Amino acid sequence: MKRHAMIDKAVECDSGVWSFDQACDVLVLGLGTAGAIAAIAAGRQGMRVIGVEALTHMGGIGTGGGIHHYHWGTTGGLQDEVDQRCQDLHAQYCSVDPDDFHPDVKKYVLEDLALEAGAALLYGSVISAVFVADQCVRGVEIMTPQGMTRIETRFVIDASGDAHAAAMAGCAARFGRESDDYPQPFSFVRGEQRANGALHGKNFDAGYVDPRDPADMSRATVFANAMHAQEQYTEKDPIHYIAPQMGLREGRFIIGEDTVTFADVINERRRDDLVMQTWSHHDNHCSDWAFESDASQDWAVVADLFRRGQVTDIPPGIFIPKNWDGILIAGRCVSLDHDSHQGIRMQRDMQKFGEICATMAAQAIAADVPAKDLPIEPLQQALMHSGCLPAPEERLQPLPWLTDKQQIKAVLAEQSAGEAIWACRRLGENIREDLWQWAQSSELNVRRHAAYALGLLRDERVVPILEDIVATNETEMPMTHNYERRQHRYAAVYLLGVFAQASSIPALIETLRMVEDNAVSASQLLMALLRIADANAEHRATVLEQLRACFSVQCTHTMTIWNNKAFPKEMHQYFRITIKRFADSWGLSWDLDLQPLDRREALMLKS
Amino acid sequence: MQDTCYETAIIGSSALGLGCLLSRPENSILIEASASICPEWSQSFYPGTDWDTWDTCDNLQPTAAALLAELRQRQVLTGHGLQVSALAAQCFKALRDSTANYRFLSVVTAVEDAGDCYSIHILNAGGHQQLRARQIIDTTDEAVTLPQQAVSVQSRAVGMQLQIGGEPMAATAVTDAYHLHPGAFASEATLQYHVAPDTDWITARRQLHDFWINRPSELRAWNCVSVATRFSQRVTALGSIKENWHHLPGCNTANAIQAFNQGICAAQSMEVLA
Repeated sequence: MKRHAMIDKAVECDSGVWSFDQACDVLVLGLGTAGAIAAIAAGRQGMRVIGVEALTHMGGIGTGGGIHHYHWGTTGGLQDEVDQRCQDLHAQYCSVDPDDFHPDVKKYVLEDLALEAGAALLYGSVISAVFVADQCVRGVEIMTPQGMTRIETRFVIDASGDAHAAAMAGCAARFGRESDDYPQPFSFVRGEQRANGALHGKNFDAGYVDPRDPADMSRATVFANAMHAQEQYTEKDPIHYIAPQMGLREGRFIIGEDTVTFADVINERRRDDLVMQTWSHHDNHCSDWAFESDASQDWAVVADLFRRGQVTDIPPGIFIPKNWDGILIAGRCVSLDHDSHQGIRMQRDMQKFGEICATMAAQAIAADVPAKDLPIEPLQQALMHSGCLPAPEERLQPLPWLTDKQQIKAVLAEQSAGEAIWACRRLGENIREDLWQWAQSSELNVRRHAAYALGLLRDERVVPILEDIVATNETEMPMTHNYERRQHRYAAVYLLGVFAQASSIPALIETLRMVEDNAVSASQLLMALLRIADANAEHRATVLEQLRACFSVQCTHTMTIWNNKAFPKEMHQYFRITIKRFADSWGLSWDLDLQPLDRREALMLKS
Repeated sequence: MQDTCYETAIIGSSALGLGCLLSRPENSILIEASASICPEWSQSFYPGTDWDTWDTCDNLQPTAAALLAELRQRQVLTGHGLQVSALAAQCFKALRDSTANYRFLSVVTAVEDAGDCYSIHILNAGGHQQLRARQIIDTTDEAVTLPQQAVSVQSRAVGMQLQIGGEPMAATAVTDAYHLHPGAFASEATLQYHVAPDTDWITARRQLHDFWINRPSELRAWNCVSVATRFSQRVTALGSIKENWHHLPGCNTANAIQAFNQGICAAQSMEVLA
């Protein structure tokens, strides 16, 4: 058996004979959204449970993180009992809005249920090392307020949010979006009251952070919390609390025996081996969609479906690190990709993740098999019994799509036509020529939306129409900084980047020249031009020359992140670094001054 | 990180620790396990006492006087009391605007005497790390730089942030069970519910919950908007642990400004030592 510890961000292993101070069946690392439910569920299934938590309470982001509000997700299972018990107590504490809960009531209820289930709780405790033999996690070393303790366990349920135990063990992981390796923005919440007296967690994005990097986490803690400072604190708008926990949306994704990808989500893949379903929209908090994946932009920018609900079937393999035993992953760090994660991270769904992992651990221990060898039927039966997995006839079905061509054309004529645009993508060849006809229409909406739909079908005939849309700024892209989150107006620009035809360069350059300080407009135009130059070597030098002219002045390009107008992000250095990365890959020089404004930009420059 | 030897490592982001850090930002580093600042006030909701005696205090250092004035000007501190969360926001802002070194979300796991300095082992998102410092000022209640719990807790309370449901009312009451402090505004108050000094969080939360559900009639008009995540407590300060290694718990002062001031004074005396 080896002791695996993280030393300065790298895993180091020590061989030796190790002894343990105590033993349990299931050790739950992190008693947050998923871990709290995992500890209760495992205890109820007869497991000897030890729960380890860095803070002094259970509940994670919903309690200590101040997000005491359910946003999408699916009800069912053990969480319903928790929520009902919270509802019964709210009147004694403070009123909350529907779909909200009082964080301190939930802390109390979760703890009460965990103790009732026989779980031992170690607060103020963090993981120091894991013990591994034969690709199986056998125990953990925990730093508690009383000192270090070693615990032998049959299963670790890693609900630490960033998969600390799995990372120490050496489980493979992925991280961030492809363009700059960074996750979604994070938040730091403060407690306020609404006019109706209901307790409310004021949430806003505070910037970007790499949860794996201690210096970056420390910086983010200080800078985000300083954003709560006000000129004046008044009785009308008091701060009841500042959340003691950072609101991280995204971190490591452990690569599992199975993975749910964004392709699974948007293609509505149904699975026989599902153990639950999730329900959410594509809740990506980025403002700079130009740097997101094509699939994400097809969905949210071209088809404008940011708010459309998505049902996703979840298989058990996303909770099992690939080729590992003795460890299960619960929480946001399960096996997803950056895009699928945007809709598979809601609190209700994460609570179910905890219940599923507890059930998998209990069944694997009872059958004495690795979790990956668990037969699916008993697992599904147990989860249907608890209500975590609905019975087949009660399962969520994806929202219906338009299929009738005349109905589709009618919706394409409307101002908001995303449903029809994506319906065309689904129909593919069956509607391609109709779309081409409609794209010649004199009706503005029909012409434009048909062109976007053809763009989703990657039909190059549409390029001149898209170029015309951009050249005339038909979609009214803003040129000065404003709090504009409607990405659909960039559909034509993005698609021109996808088609990457040199003929589009003049329209894009001309429009970029008109942008004053709007970073969102600048980012889409910039990326389209870089993609075109990337695909057309003979135009690279010219494009770079034009970009040099656009970005050489003392320009500012400002981007507002979600709900945070007071602290907009300056993007001009990010843009310059992005250009340099392309220029480097082309073997061309980019001589503009580069001064990274944050860690993300510094890493981009280094890479 | 290992290569840097700081003059002083300040353990704990208490108001005392912050005062110490901001007095000598360039060659000190603050190490804090949590994501909070001044947690002995901001996360315990204990507003402190004796706020009105500071203007005439001889020992008030200019930086502390400036912070006190700012808290008053921004209505963090009013004639009624203190908004503890706003205090934290202002202190984070002061830290952001400084040149100080800090490492939040980092747990101290051990301290070793390395001859001419101390080697401080910390555990955080990057795993185990070490840094070196010639002096240590441990401002945590628990003296986390020592391997075992060595601090004796003299008194302990768990706090609640309250908001009035109807017309504001006098928010001062002292009983054997609790102490009700007025907030910065008439609609706010903080309750400090007394528990035995050795009470853990599970027991304290249960006792507080039972008390609150069955609370006396004079508290019925109040809503609980938040429960503290730190105890407010008094502990036995260990003072000098070894040469250049001190335990000065920030929780033992009357209020945050006194603690901040004490931190500045401690930094000045350390400079003499250095």
